[in-house]
Amino acid sequence: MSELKGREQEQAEPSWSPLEDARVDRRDFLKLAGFFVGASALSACSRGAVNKAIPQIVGPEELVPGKALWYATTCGGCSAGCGALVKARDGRPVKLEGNPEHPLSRGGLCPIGQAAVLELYDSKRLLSPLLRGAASSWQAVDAEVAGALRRARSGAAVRVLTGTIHSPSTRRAIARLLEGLPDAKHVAYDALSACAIRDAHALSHGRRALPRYRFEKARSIVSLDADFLGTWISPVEYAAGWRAGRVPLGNPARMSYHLQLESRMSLTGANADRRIVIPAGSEALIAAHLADHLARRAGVRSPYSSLPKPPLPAAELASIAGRLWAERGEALVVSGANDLAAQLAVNHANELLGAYGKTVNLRGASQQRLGDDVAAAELLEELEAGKVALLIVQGCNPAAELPAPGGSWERILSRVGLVVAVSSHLDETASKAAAVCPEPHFLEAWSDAEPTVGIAAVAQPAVRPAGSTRPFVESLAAWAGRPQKALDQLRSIWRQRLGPAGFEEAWAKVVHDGWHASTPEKGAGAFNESAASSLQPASLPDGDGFRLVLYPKAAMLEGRHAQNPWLQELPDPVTKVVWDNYAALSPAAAKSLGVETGELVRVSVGGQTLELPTLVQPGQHDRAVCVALGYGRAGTERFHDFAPRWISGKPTVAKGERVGRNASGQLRFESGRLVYSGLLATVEKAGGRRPLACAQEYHSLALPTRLAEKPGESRDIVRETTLAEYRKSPKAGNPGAHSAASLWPKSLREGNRRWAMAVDLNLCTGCSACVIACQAENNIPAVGKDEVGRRRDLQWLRIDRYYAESEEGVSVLHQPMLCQQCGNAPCESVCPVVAISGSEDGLNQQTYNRCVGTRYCANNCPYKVRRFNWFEYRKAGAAENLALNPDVTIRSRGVMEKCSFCVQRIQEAKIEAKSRGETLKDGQIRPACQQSCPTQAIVFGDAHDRASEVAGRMADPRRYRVLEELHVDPAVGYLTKVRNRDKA
Amino acid sequence: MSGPDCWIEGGKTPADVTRDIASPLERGPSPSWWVALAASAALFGIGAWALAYTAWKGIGVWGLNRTVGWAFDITNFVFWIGIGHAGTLISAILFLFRQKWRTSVNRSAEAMTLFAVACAGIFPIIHMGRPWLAFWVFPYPNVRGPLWVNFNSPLLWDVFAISTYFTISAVFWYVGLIPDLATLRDRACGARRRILAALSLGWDGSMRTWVHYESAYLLLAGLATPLVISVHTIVSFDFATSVIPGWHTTIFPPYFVAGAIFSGMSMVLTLMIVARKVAGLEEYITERHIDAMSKLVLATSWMVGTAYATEFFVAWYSGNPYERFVFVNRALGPMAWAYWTMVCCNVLIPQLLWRGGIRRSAMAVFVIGIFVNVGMWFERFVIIVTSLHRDFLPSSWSSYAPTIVELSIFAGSFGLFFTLFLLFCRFLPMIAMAEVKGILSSGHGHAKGPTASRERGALA
Repeated sequence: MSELKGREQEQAEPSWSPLEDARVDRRDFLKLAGFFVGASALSACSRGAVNKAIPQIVGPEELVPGKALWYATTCGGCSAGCGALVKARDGRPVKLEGNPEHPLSRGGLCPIGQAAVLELYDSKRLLSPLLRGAASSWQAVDAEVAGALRRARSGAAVRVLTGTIHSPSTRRAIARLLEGLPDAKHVAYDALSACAIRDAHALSHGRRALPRYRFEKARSIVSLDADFLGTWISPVEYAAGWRAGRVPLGNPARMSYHLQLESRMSLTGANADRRIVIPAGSEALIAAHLADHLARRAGVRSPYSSLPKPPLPAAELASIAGRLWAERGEALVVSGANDLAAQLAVNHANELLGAYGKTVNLRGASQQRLGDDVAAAELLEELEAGKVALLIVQGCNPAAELPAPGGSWERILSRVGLVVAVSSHLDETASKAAAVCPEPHFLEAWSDAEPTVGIAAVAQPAVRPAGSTRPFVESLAAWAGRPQKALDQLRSIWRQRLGPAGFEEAWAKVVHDGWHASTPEKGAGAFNESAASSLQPASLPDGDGFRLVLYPKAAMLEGRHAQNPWLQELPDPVTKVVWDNYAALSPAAAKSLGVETGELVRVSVGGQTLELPTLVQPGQHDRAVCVALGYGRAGTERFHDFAPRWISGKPTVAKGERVGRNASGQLRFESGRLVYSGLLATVEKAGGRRPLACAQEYHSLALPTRLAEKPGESRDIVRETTLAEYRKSPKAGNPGAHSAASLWPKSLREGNRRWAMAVDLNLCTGCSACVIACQAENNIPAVGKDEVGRRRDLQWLRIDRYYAESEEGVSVLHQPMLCQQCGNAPCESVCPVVAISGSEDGLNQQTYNRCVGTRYCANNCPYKVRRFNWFEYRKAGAAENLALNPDVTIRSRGVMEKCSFCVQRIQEAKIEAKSRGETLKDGQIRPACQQSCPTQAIVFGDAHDRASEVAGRMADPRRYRVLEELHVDPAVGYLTKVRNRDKA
Repeated sequence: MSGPDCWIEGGKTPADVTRDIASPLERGPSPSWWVALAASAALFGIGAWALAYTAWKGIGVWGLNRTVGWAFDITNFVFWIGIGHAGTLISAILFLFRQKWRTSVNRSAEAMTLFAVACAGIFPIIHMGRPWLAFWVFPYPNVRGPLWVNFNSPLLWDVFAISTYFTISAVFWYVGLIPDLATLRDRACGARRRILAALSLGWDGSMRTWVHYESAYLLLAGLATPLVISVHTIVSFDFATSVIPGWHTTIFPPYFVAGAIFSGMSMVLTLMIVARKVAGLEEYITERHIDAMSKLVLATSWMVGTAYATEFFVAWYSGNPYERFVFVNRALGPMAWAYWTMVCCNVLIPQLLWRGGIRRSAMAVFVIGIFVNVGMWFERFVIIVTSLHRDFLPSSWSSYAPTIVELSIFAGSFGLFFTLFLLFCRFLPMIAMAEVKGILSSGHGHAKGPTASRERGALA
């Protein structure tokens, strides 16, 4: 009844519909029906409606939609403390770049720093505290810690175990927590320890300090297994310094001389002028011999009474010493060995060379490695003995990084009263801790840093923290009973540093600049020769057993970033392998074991066994077996579902398995210090395979012998010469291409711009920072191990690596390869739908929306730099998508893509200049790869502007273009690599 | 019975021809036909699944990579286009050259052309990353601003070449069918008669009709003739206009055309030898036919053999190290097995055809035909994959292996081809009755041209 009534009322209401009065004939009806059916069908095709679109009632300050804001900060990716700039778009950090004004990193940023932005949006990051495995609140966690601290006041042991902390505010907060407790200690260790260097300086120079190495002042560098361009302590800073001597300048041309003595093939060795392969663990002996030779040159008494026989000829050592001696005052010896005897001998050599105060600075010493292995070893013993009541772990993951006494971290941590892990992930340590306190990402919090004494920095947050995380300093303050916000703690400590007068302005400047320099304290005491030579290096053990070398990989280091897919998929600069670690064996060693790349071997050190796939690594010592640390980390099981799933697709990791295997169980403490290199190991064939995914299949510029016209026939894709040849003719090694008549129209007129790039192969170390920079800037997805193994990686910029065999041994060439933006582009002419077209300023513009995916352009590209979206790689709705750069289109499957010379940056700069009524200035546009390059190997600009830097490099006699004879007119020039050698 | 002009055995009269060829169509299909159709359709079904899977997931389900961007897809495309060539050659060029023996095989060969082009046509569409946008390759007025197709691109030339080829071949085939459809119409009744009446376009067999028909047929033959050359020439431009060593070769157009005729003839032989046996057409498709076609196979085998040798010579003579390497790599590199398969099948095995006895042995020719088809498939595979997989920068060198999906699509294309061919055998006269009647030696003595006898043929 009521229904009927309602209907009547409805009818009685005045009509609003135009159809009501109008006569609707059949045609109109059909038209309308058609429209509504069509419209509803179309609207049903779209994705579901956004249900939670909440407008920002109070928008972030200074925010203009579509306009990027840049903030200075300090990279928290490792303890090197490089200066960084964060690009935030619409309140969301999307890109990290080097801070060009930062005195240490000087504008560069390594792959890890570049990739850190992805971790900000990690969907598996812990966002609220856990207590005994269950979600909890900060009050509950604090109460738990407070209880433990109460017990500690009556004598129970409290230990704070961290990685290197050079943040003044964090150090003060730790000190405040521990003060007044009868048995409290802060122990710092580094998974990649440089403790021996600090201990050696304590003995030789009376100060436990890690010197700041000034590679820019060194004309002669001898590195004993220190991978300072790749992974050692502060690689961006060192690479920026190393660069200074690497351009042949002057008349006669001069370059620094870089000699690398190492057992494995490191990135630094790959870039050395000369590389000598030494047995693993012989660094101390060689360093001592070097000091001995130098002492003789200096005419002083040799520090060593008698030395065991060195593993290389005495004449060789004498000539190395001679070369160093000739450049004394500008010479530098470094060693990566965590061995006191080696570091003492190195100090001795540097002292004899007059390096202190010049290339080795103890004044303004480095704080990038503050770990103390001896203290860490002691702590492990205490833990095992069950003496510790409260253990707070932060910034490190000992359960994954250190060998547990007795082999089980589970067991020794269960003996601790309360374990509190301050961690962003449920890692090996946190999963065994009673309380897990997640920290915000470094881009979400206020912090400070002092990577070298006197160079301090403030890092400001670029985004509001997600979830309810709490900075470590705030936790510490809360536990100490004096809760204080991180910013307030920072300001109070910086008020002391900057002085109360004019503090606000000075503070604002520090925050704006991202760094602050002050006069460092006085240098070290006098050299104590007898202490320095107190430790005689042991002779090398006989026998031909294998020596294990545990090393960090450039993108993975100790493994803190193992859950970052960009870093897992970054091809190792030397091996080009992704998503795995492996046992690297020299070709001869692999042959003697009867294994090939991918076949499993069993590596055992003192009962600890590890099964790893073999990787045959040329240029490595025949008795060395090299295994990367930082793999097999908890949480990497998440990559099981990472790659596209299809009928023959294999998961990146098997269900429940982890990426790689953790080799830290093979680490040993010897006389209190972690030993990474030289441990005697047995290696045997295990049977079975675990295929490795390598981004490169063929590794040499020399053609396969069977197919070569004459033995050693090689392609001059990477041109190389020696300094001796270069002095004779700057065109050495670069014969130039023959010019040919062209049928092509002159498409790029002189008046127009021609965007171009020049890459100095002398400066490019192959560190791959540019690869990740490009990946972050251009929204390039990671595709998973199987896809890379199928050679379908998507990175627009790749680093080609070629091995070359010569009398000198194996040398390595790196070449960044990206779209060459050809003037007569072979890709352009073959596309049936004009999805690729040449612009007036010389860019080959890929129009993703137009591409139908014939792949003809990729086939016809002589450089093979085009990348195809084989699958739909993006997952809609993933948290990681927040890291996408809004300036760059996302590509769907079936579409071709490639390097655009960061056209979005070009356009932005153009628009900016136009709106200001200015003309574009050279250097204003910096593509992501150029921006992040620690050695400034890449220069970009207008080649038609004769005053531009790129035009200058293009006019360099060393400049050549790859495959110029094809007449495709590439816009990328390369500068011949010159090695400081007498003969090739 | 077997004079120089006598191509049909058994002293057939025109009425015999009509009965022999039309009556099987009027009977129900045999069980073996059903079995064959089911097998073919199942094969096609597998291919259809693989095509759908590719469209659903992406090209990633194939074994391609960033270096080898084409492999099975374009190999199959060129292979099928090549298969089609024999049909046009037989129907058009041999018609213009007044080769009487063509009449026994031209209908099937033309049908084969159509079906092969249909199979080929799948690949350029499905090889696209976004096949649903395949229509963008047509230059039609659109609302996408200045976007238009790229007339510089050989892929666009392909679009025109293949669509033209398919259209002309279809028209030519259909026009050739009209008199026979009329014959079938005259023999049929009921619905079948009405359908055939519509399809035969009111053919009345009058002199006027025949005159118009003859000139139309001649004109179409003239139009189709350049297509025999042009289609594969343009297909070869897909490779020849690129910069990739091993592709960038001026020899490609004649080499591809010869290869296409070679493979097409072999496919005709393979099919005909089976068909004549199954359909009992030995008297129409005689050993002489097989012999004549084998000679063509032998001749084209030499042409492709010469092309293989010339490529090597030019690679050496050019002094271009990249070019030289590609060819040495073909013969000695990791995919040498494919190259030597190709050489064996295309150059060595066809040499057996020098012996008359082998040329006239249906079994031997059948086997050789299969070898040639395998060899010609490998020729395209070798050209495409071995040139791409090791080009300029050694860092990009890569390899290629097909996935199950690609193999299924390839198998499916055979399924489609045989399904269509079986349907054709069932519903349309496999042998051009009207034309065969023109070359019969019985009845009206030795008729000079096809015209006079066609008239009767239609009336018989």
